[in-house]
Amino acid sequence: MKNNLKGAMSVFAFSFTQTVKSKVFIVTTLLSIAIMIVCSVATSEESGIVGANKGNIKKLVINDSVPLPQEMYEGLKKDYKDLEISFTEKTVEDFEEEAVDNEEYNDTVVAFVNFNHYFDIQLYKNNSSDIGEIEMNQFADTFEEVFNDMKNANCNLTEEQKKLIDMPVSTKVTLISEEKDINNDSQAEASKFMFVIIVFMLLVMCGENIGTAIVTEKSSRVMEYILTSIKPLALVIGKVCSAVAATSIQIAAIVAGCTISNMYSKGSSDAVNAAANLSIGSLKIEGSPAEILLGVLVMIAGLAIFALLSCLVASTASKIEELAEVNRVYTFLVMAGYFGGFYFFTFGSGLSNAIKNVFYLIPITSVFVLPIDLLTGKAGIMIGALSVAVMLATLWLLFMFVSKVYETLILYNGQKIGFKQLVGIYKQNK
Amino acid sequence: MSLEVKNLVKKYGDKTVVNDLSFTMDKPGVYALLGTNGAGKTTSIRSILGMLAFESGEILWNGGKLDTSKINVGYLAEERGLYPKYTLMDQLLYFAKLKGVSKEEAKKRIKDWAEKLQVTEYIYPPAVKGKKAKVKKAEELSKGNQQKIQLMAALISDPELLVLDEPLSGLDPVNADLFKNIIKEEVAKGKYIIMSSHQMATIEEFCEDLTIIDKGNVVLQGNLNEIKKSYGRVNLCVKVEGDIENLIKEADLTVVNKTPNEYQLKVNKEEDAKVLLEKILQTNLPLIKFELREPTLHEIFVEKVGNVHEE
Repeated sequence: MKNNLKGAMSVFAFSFTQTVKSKVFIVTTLLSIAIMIVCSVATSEESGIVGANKGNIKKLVINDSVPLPQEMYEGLKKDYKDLEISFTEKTVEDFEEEAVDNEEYNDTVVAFVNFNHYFDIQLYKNNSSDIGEIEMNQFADTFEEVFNDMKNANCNLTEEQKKLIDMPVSTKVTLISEEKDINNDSQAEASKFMFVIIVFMLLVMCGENIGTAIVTEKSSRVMEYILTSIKPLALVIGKVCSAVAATSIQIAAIVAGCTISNMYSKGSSDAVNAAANLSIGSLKIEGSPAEILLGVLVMIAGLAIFALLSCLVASTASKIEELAEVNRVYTFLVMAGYFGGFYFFTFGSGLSNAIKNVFYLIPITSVFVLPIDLLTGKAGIMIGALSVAVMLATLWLLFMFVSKVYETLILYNGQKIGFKQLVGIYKQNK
Repeated sequence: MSLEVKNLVKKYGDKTVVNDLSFTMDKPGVYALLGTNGAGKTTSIRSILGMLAFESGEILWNGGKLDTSKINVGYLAEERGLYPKYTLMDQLLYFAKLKGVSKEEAKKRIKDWAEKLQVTEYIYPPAVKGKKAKVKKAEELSKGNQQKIQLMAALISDPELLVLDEPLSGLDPVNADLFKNIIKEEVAKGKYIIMSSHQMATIEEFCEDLTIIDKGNVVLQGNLNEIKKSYGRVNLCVKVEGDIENLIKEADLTVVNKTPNEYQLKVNKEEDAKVLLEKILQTNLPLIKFELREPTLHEIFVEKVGNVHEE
C-alpha cells in the first residue's frame, strides 16, 4: 500500500501549485470576490446605507428585570459616547406594539435583561431602523464586554450581585416587525441553503478540476511517462487532493467575498445578505462534539465519493472536447444531491422521519443535508454513524471498482467508453 | 545486471495482443522490438514497465521482479506528451522529483542536457532589451523540440533501463543524428536500452539483438548478425549501362525490384551470381555495380511479416 501511494505528495504539490498559479484560477477567483463585493455595494447603495453602519445607535432603552446597578450600563459609553440610556418597565409585547414602523425608534435599541441561571440579554430594533445588523451585533458584543468588565471591576456590588455577575452572559439580536423574528432563525435557514449551494459549488468545481486534470494528462500523453514513476492510485489521490484544495481556496475566497459584502450590508433578507450571513454563528450549533465529528466525516466521505466518481467519469474520455459530454453523468448526480438538499430544507419540517432518514442515508444527498443537521443537533449520533457507515461502504465499493478499471482507462485513448464497457473492463481485470 | 521477459501474455478481452513474449538482455546495449503498427510493441513495453497488468509471465530485473517505482527506469513514449500549458522547467523538475532526483541535482542535469540537446534558449530564455525573459511553455515549441524535452525527461534520472518507443520518428536528419549520438553515449555508459522503431536502418545501426512481433506473436528473434548469416548472401544488386533482362532470365534469377539500370535480384546460391557476372562481362556492357550481400533488416522484416500476413 505504501508503495502504491509513493509519489502522491509530489503529484499533489505539482498539480496544486500549477493550478493555483494558472491565470484561469487567479482570474476566476478574483472575479468571484469582485462580483460579491460589487453586488453587496450595489445592494447597500440601494438601501442608502453605505458607510452608515457605525454610529447609528443613539438611544438605549433598558428593561432590567434582575435588576443590576444602573451605573454599570454607563460602561457602554466607552464605545458609544453620545448614547442616551434610559430605563423602562415596558414588556417586549408593549415595545413591539409601540416600535413597529415608528420612526422615532429608528436610532433606538431596546434591551431586555433577564436572569435565569445565566444572563439573557435580548436586543431589539425596529424594522425601519437605520441600525445595520453588523452594528447591532457589535453593540451586542459591547454589551457582553460591559458585563465581563464588571466581573473584574470593584463596583459597589452586593455579595448577591457579585454572585450573579459571575454567571454566563447570552445576547440575542432581534428585529421587531409585523412578521416578527425573521432575523436569527431566517439567517439560520438561509445558512442551510447556502451550505447546500456551497457544497454544490464545491462538487461541481472539484469535478471540473479533476476531470480537466485527468483528460489533459491523457490527451497530452503525459500519463504514460508519469506511470513509470508512480502507481495509478498515487496519481488519483494526488490529483483529487489537489483539486479539492484548489477548489476549497476558491470557495473560501467566495465566502470571504460574502463576508466583506456583509460589512456593507444592512440586515435585510435579500439574497445577497442571505449569502453574506453565511457565518457559522447564524446557525445554532447544538450538536455534541461526536455529532459535529460525524458531520465532518460525512462531508469528507461525501467529497471522496464524488471525487472518485469524477475520476471514473473523466477517465472514460480521451480528449478535452469529450469531457463535457462524459461529465453529464457526474453533473446529474451532483444536481440530484443539490435539489435533494433544497427539497429537504424547504420541506424539512413536514417530512416524516422515515423520509428524512432516506435523505440522510443516500450518499448523494447526505453530504448536502446531514452535516448541517448534525451540527445543529437535528440529527442524532445513531443516524450520523449509520450514514458514515453507508458512505464508507459506498466509498469502498466504488474504490474497488475504480481501482480495477482506472489502470486500463487512464491509458485508453479512443472513443468514449460506455457503462457496459466499463463493467466489461472491471470483469476482465477482476 | 540483466533484464528477462519470460512468457509474457497480455489479452484485451478475448483477444491476445502479446502472446508468449520472451527475451533476455544480459549485457548493456540496445534491444530492438520490431513490428508493424498494431503488432503489440507498445502493449509489450507498457506491460514490461508495469503500466498494464498482464495475464501471465514474468518481468525480471537482476533476477527480481521489475518494479518501476523502485528501479530507475527512463521512458520515451511513442506518442509525445508534455503538459502544454506548463513551463518546461516546471515540468522537468516535476518529472525529476517523481524519479527521486533532488531539485539541485535536477537543475544541474537539466542545464547539461539542455546544452547537449540544444534547447537552452527555450528552457532559459534570454531577456530581451531589459524586459524580463518570457518563460516558454511546451505548447510554444516545435514537435522536434518537444521531443528533445521528452528525451530529457526520460534521461534526467540517469536511468539504468531506458525504454525508447519510436525515438526518431518525426525528427529531421540533424536532430535524428543528435538523438543517435546520445543513444550511443548511453550505451557506452553501460545502459540497457529497449528500442522500438519502424526505421530499420536505425535499428541495424544500434542493435545486436531483436525480436520481430506480428499480431502479438514472435515471428523472428535472435542476434541480428546471426539472423543475417542464416539467410546467406542471396541478395544481388546489379547496375549495368544496358539491357540485361535476357541474361537474368537465362540465369533463372528472381527479380525483386527493378529501377532504371539497376536490378535487385534474389539468388539461390552464390554460384548463381558468379554465372550472371560472367555473362555480363562477356557482353562488354559497362558494369557499374555488382554486389552480393546479406539481406537488410528491412528485407528480413518485410519477408517475415509479409509471410505471416499471407498465411
